[in-house]
Amino acid sequence: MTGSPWSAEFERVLRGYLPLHGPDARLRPDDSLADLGLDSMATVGLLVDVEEEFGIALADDDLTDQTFASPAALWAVVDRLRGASR
Amino acid sequence: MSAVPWRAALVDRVLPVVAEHAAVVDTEAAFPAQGMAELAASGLHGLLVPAEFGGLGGGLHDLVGTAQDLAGACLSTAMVWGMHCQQVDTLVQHATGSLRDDVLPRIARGELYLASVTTEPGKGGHLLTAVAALRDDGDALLVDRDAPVVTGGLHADGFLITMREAEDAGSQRVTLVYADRDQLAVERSGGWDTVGMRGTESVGLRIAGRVPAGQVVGQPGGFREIALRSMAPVGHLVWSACWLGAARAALADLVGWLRSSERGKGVDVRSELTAERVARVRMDLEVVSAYLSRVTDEVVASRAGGASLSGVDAQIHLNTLKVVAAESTFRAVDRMVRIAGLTAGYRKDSPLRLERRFRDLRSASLNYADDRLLVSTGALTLMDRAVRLL
Ligand SMILES: Cc1cc2nc3c(=O)[nH]c(=O)nc-3n(C[C@H](O)[C@H](O)[C@H](O)COP(=O)(O)OP(=O)(O)OC[C@H]3O[C@@H](n4cnc5c(N)ncnc54)[C@H](O)[C@@H]3O)c2cc1C
Repeated sequence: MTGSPWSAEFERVLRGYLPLHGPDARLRPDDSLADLGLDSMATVGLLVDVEEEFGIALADDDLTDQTFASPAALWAVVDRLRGASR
Repeated sequence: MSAVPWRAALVDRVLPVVAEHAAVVDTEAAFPAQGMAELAASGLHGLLVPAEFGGLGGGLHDLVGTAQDLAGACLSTAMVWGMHCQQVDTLVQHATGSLRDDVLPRIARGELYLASVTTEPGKGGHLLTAVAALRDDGDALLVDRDAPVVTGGLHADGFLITMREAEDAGSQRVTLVYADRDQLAVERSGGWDTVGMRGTESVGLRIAGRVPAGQVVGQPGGFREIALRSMAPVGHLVWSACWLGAARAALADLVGWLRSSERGKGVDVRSELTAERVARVRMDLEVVSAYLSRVTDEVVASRAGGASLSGVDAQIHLNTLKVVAAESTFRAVDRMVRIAGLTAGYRKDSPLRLERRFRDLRSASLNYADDRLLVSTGALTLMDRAVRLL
C-alpha cells in the first residue's frame, strides 16, 4: 500500500486490535494505541499475531510501553527484526 | 524508613477515638466522623503533603505503616483515610500551579477531606475508561456524572473525578478533574447497606457542577499516566496495608485469647491441630507483610529515580500485591473464625470481634475486582519470558 510507512499486512493485523478506531479512519503513525482500545490482553494477541505474520520474535527488552505506544513505534521494532531475519 | 519520626505519637493519639467508634460506624453504616476529625486535627490528613505546603512530608512507608495501625482499630476508618491519602498523593505528584497552591495547604490544615470518583455505571470498575464526558462551555468545564460507589462521598470537601475528555473523545481518553464540594451539586442516588466495610458509607451519588479548566489534574485525556504513576500503585499499597492491619490485629486478639483463661473448653492450645491452624494464619500474614514492604520499596525507589512503574515486571508486582493481600487476609480471618469456633469466632457479641473483620475483609477481592488484575497479570506474564521476579 502506498502512502503508509508500514506494510499492508501490518496495518491489517494492527487494526484487528483497535476496537475504538473507526474502520474508515486513517491510522496515523503517532496515534495512541491505548486510546484506540489496545489494553493488556489485546497487547498479547497483537504481539503473537505480529510475530506469526512476520516470522519474528520480539525480545523481552522490546516489550515496553513505548513499543506498543503508537503504530510507528511498533512498526519500527517489527521492521528492524524483519530486516534482520531476511 | 519513616520520614516522619513523630508519626507513632500522632497515631497513638488518634487510635483510641478510632477504636471507640468502630462498632457503631459498622452497625449504623455511618461515616466515621469522630475518627476522621481526630485524624484531621492530628495533621495526619496531610501526611503526604510536602512540608513546604505545611504538611507532614511523609512518604509511602509512613502511609502503609499508618494504614496498618489504623486498620487494626477500625478497617472502615483506615480505608476512608487511606483513600483520602491516595487522592492526596495524586495531587502532590500531578497538580500544578494555582490548584496545587490552593489545595495542598488546605489538606495539611485538615480542612479538605478528599473522595474518589472513578467507578461509573456502564463500565463497572474499569479504571482507565470513562463514559460521561466533560463539556467545555467556553468559560468552564461542566461535570455531570453518576458515581455509584463513593467512599465518604456525603462528607467530602473535595473530589477527584474521572471523566471522558470530551464528547467526541473515545472512552480511553480519560481526564482527571478536581472539584471543591461547593462547586458541585451532590445528590445521594443510592445507599450503602453492605455485608462489611459499612463505615466507609460508600453511597451512590449524582454529581454535577462547573469547574475552571485549571482544575484538570495532569494532561486532558492523560489520566492513564496518573493511574500508572500514582493512583493504582498507591491504591494497591494502601488497601493491602489496611487489610493486613486488620488481619494482624485479629491474630493478635486471637493469640491473646488462646493464651488466656477466656478460651473455650473446646480449644486445646497444646494440640498439634491448633498449632498447625495458627501457623497457616501466621504464614499468610508473613507473606503479605514481606511482599507489601518489598513492593513499597520498589515504588519508592522507582519514583526517586524518575521511572514510570509502567514496566511489565513492576505492574505484575503491584497487581500481585493487591490480589495476594486480598486473598490471604480473608483466608486468614476465615481460618481464625474456625480456630475460635462458634461462640468466640462467629457470634457478633464475642469480644474477639472476628465476625466484623471477616465481613470487612470479604470486600477485599471486590474492591477493584481481583479478576481484572489477574487477567492483566496473566497477559503481562506472557510478555516477560525472563520471569523477572521481585
Ligand atoms: C469498600 C469499597 C469502597 C469503594 N470506594 C470507591 C470509591 O470511593 N470510589 C469509586 O469510584 N469506587 C469505589 N469502589 C468501587 C471499586 O473501585 C470497584 O469499582 C468495584 O468494587 C467493582 O465493582 P464490580 O465488581 O461491580 O465491577 P467490575 O469491576 O466491573 O466487575 C464486575 C464483575 O466482572 C468481573 N470482571 C471484571 N473484569 C473482568 C475481567 N477482565 N476478566 C474477568 N472478570 C472480570 C468481576 O470479577 C466482577 O465479578 C469501592 C468498592 C468497595 C468494595
